[in-house]
Formats: sequence, structure tokens, C-alpha cells
Amino acid sequence: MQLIDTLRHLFHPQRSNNHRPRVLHPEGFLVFAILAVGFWLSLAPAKVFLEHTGNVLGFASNITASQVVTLTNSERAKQGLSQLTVNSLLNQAAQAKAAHMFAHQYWAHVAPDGTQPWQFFKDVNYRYAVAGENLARDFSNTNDMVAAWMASPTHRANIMNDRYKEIGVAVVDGKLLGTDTTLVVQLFGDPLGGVPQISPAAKKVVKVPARKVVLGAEATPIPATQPQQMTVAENQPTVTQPNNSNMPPAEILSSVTLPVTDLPNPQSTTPIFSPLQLTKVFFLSVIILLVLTLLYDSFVMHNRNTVRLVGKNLAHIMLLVAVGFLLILFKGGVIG
Amino acid sequence: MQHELFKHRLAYSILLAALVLFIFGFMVVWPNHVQQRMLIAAIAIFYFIWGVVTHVKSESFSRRVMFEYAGVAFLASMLLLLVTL
Repeated sequence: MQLIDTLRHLFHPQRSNNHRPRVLHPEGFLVFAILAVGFWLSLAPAKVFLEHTGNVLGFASNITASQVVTLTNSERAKQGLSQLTVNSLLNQAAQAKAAHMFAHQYWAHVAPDGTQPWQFFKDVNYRYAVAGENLARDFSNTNDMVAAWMASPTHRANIMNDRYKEIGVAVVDGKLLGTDTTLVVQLFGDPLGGVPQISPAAKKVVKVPARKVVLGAEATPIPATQPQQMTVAENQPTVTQPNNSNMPPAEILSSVTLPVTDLPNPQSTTPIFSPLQLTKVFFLSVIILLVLTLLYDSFVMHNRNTVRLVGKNLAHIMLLVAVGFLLILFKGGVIG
Repeated sequence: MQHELFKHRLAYSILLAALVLFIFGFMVVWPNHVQQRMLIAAIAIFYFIWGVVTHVKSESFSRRVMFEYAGVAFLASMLLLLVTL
């Protein structure tokens, strides 16, 4: 009986709540906001706990390097540009860049220790006239990620640069800056002399951080064209073996040799929920509850023909529906 | 509700237009989350002001009503802000 009274107090306009459901009072909205923040904050510790009980909560990304190449070429084809061909050296360089970001925990084109993106081209002995790099993280699927790049003028310029002839892509899962994520490194190049380069090191041994899964995204551009002096310096006519000794030891995985793209997940269990999905479900539940309560309140008070000094239910509904609509359509991903 | 809509059709038209613009803008600026957050803050402030102005004009304003609009605007902005973080 007490439960029913409480529910009526919360959701039914009556004398005890001044003829306005308690959840629709200003304090009610504040409580829901606090609940939302609390839920969001609790996701991180919940994930740590659930990791011990199974892979229930985590980030799941279905991005593959081949899809990235296909969609990139598809975008170029729309503009009548030539198709990029996959170069294994660029794949290696992209893989090394991703491993470097995980090993040194940074998200940028230039590493905190000053390592330039071009260093990874050099390490695999890829000689280029022009090169470029796009980065992305936290996307759950390839379409959204490429769409995000295309929405950014600087990333789009890289993808649409007609000087590029070759492409290399790495898709690597791991923990970056405390968050499980999928890093995508996309490298472009115009090989010196326009001849595709073949290296004996078509496969490379790299360290792959323990694969977990992500959501959200980010991408950063760099100038597609090298400074003149850098281009000259890179255009060495001699092909040499990649000098792995230049790579930090943390980037070398001695036990496994893998193709540089589409690295498999060693703990291949896809999480049931991603934090973003759970957050959306919870927030949408809040919105549905409030909208239903607002509709019910309007209906009851209309029949009672009682005058109250409260906010406009219809306006609240309009705003909450708009928020719900955006929550449903919201796609993770950040571009920087 | 229809009566309410008709009685304040100008106010609701303005609100509807602002919400449509907000939705459109939110989608267009993706994946720039900084701009999305700016839009969220803008619509929250607009909604609060819209509520106050509408109630003042209809002579139904009170501090409680003002807090209610502040609460709804705050809740709506938090729900969207948190998913962009």
C-alpha cells in the first residue's frame, strides 16, 4: 500500500504533490540529471568489475583495414580520382604508428618524444614524394569513421589528394589514455618514381596490445606535402632493409608474426554491450518515463479543469523528444 | 493540449523552429564534439529563456516555474553532453 502511495505521489497529480507529479517538480528534474551523471560515472568501475565476470561490457568495433581501403577508394571514385593501391610497407608503417601510440600513450601525429609521423615511413624504408596521415579512434564501424573523415575538411583533403597513389591501414585495439579503444591509422603515399615498392619485409613482427574493444572517434590531419627539405632527405634512391633497431623494444613482439592488417583478437570475445549503448538505453529510459508522465499529467489535469502555475508540459515534451531523437541517432567518434 | 498549442502558436512555432535547427546543426557538425557541446549549451539557454519569456508574457510566471525550466534545460543538456564526452 505504501508503494502505491509513493508511486501516486511520484507520478499522479494529487494534493500531496501540489497537483503536479513529484518527478515533474524542479527537484525531480535535478534528481534525474544527478542519476544520469551517476550512471555515466559508474560505467568505468562497472566495466572493471564485469571484466572479471565475463566480457559483458566493452567496446566492440567491426572496423577492418580492407573496409577502410574500400570506402576510401569509393570516396575517391566519386570525384573521379584514381584508386589507391595497398602497399605492404605502408601497412607496416601504419601498424608501427598505432603500436607506438599505445606504447607511449599519446594521441597525436607527433609523439611526445618528438617522433614525427614520417619516421614510421622511414623505418619501413618507404620512399615517397608526398605522404599523409589520417588518424581515428573510438569508432564502432568503418562507415561512420570514413564519414567523419569526409566531414572534416583537412582529413577529406588527404583522402581526396590526387597525388597519392598508395595506402596503408592499421586497425588496432588496445587501451589508450585509460580508455579501451580502436585506433585506426591511415597512411597515404606517392612512391618515389611512381613505382610501387616491394619489400622483403612484407610481414612484420609488431607488438599488439591486449585486444579489447572501443567506441567514439577522432582523427587528425597533417600536411599532405612534405617540407621541401624533408622530401629531399627522404628521397634516398637506395632500398635498404627496414632498420628495426630504431624501433623501441616495446613495439616488438617476438612471439607472433602477423600480416599487418586485420590483426585478430587474441581474446576474441565480443562484448555484449558498449558503454555508449548502455548510456543511450538508460538516458532514453529517463526520457520515455518523463514524457509519459508529462502526457499523463496533461491528460489528468485537462479532465479536472484545474488551474496550476507550472511549466508548459508540451514544451517540455518537445525538448525531451528532440533530445531522445538525437540520442538514438548519436554516433560515437571524435575528430581532433 | 491543442488549445494550449493554438493559444500560444507563435511561442511554440519559435520553439519548434529552434529545436529543428538544433537537431539539424547537431547532426551537421558531427563528429566535432566541441561544436556539438556548444550547440547543447545554446539550446539549453534558449529553452530556459523561452520558458521565462513565455510565462512572463502570459502573466503566469513564478520562481517555481523558472526553476522548472532550469531543471528541464539542465537535464536535457546533461543527457546529451554526457554522450559526447
